[in-house]
Amino acid sequence: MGPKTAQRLALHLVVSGKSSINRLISSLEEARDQIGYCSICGNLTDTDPCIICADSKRDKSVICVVGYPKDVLAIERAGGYQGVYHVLHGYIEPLKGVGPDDIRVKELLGRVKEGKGEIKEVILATNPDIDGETTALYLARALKPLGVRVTRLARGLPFGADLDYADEVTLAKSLEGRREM
Amino acid sequence: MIISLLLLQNFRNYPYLQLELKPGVSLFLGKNAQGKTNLLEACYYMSTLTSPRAEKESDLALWGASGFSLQGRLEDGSSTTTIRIDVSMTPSLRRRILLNDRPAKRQDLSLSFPCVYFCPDDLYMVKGSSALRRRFMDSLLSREDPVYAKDLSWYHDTVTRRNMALKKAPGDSSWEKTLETLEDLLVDTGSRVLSKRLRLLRSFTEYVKEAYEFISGGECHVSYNSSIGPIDEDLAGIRETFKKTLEKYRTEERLRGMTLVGPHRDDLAIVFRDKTFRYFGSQGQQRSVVLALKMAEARSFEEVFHTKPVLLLDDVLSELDDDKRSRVLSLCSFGYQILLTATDFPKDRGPGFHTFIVKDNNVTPL
Repeated sequence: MGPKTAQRLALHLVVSGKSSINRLISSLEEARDQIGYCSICGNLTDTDPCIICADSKRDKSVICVVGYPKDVLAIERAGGYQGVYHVLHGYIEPLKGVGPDDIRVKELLGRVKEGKGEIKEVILATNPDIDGETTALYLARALKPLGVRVTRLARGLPFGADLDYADEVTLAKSLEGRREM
Repeated sequence: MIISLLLLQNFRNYPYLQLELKPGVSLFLGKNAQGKTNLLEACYYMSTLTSPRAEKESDLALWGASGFSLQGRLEDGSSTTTIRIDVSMTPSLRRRILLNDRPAKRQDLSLSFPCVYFCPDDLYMVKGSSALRRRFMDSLLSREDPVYAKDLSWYHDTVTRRNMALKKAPGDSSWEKTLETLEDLLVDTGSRVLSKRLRLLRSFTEYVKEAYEFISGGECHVSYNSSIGPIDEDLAGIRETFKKTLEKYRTEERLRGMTLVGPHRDDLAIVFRDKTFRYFGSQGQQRSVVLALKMAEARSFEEVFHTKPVLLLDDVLSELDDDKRSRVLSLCSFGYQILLTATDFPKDRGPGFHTFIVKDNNVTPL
């Protein structure tokens, strides 16, 4: 939030009535007291397991691995994904001293092992930047020996884009990641 | 190609300047600190969005101005292109690039307006450390190939992360595994960088040899000195060699907490009758070599962009002897437009030589 937005919010708060401020306070308290982590996927939730993990219609054989809870929201908004999630709460970031033991890697490997063949596919939906890539590669190396299919989100041209307006780097990566039709 | 119109607003010492330029040599003549170099810098900025001497954009704006604007008209045969770059510094740095009045991207600039810049400090490319020669190669390749620039920055990022992991790995199995992962990334991006550098060298070596012969009549050879051992352009081969070399340095890298081999440790070797220039060349020879490297850069751009780049020569004539000076100026007869700064008139001014006097924030044709 920039300083201008912050100022606008603060001014709005001081002039709004007592009752609306109290409602805000109680919502914040509610969030603080009731929201925790799902014991299965690690997503933020007010029930345990979370509604996605508890949903019997979701396909439990596919796990989509993301860095943060906001990524779950993004994929859910996109619709179409019927599997479940695993939230790492971070990426492997050597520059910040964050290693695989500092994020929820062990929990993921445990889930796949305990699934005893029930889990067929792990989709790595980490950011396409260097730390996201390092994390994805690390997970792929660790997951493959467990006999599970490991996939990575496609990279390349944005949907609805004009080919001649795409920058060279994106185009080169799209060519690398081309697929059979 | 030539730049036929240059327009500066609030750039360096110029509140406003409009300059018509012609093919051939344009000489900007004036005393020190009159703003000669600023004109070449403006051209270079329009080509690369970087300055050869300023670290940040705020140094480029007129004192007290909150931004600057540069415009150029480029002519290549029958086609004309206009470039406009508006830079504003407040509240934060913003650049707007327009090519023919349409928004464009940074990488479109070097394609539309390729430039080669040469200043006296470039001598360190021969005399100085290998980092300067790597920077020369990287800057050249990045302008020719945006994918190379991306691969290179990934490679450097991977090296810093790997160095950190090397320090943490001893005795920690999960960091050891992270290190293996980073090694895959290192080999992958590093090999792509290496393959492209070697592909460049294939033609570049010949260009340097020809240019050096043209300037000084002597013989000079450049070659790629790889820290991972002998390699050729084949990507799979490079990967394998890179992996093997890392294996060899395994213990030492962990001991020192540093990535000891890879493209960030390589060098461009400049050899003159089997001896390295850095140690054996005379000042004159070293100057000729830098000139040859720059001419080779121009040739390489010509090959990739299908047009002759504009040569920006900042105060380099004064350091050359008469013979070499006239050779450099004769480049305009090969179709290169040359923008030149000097404090004195060069002796041999051929046809197509246009002189401008630079004085008191003004540039006037002589």
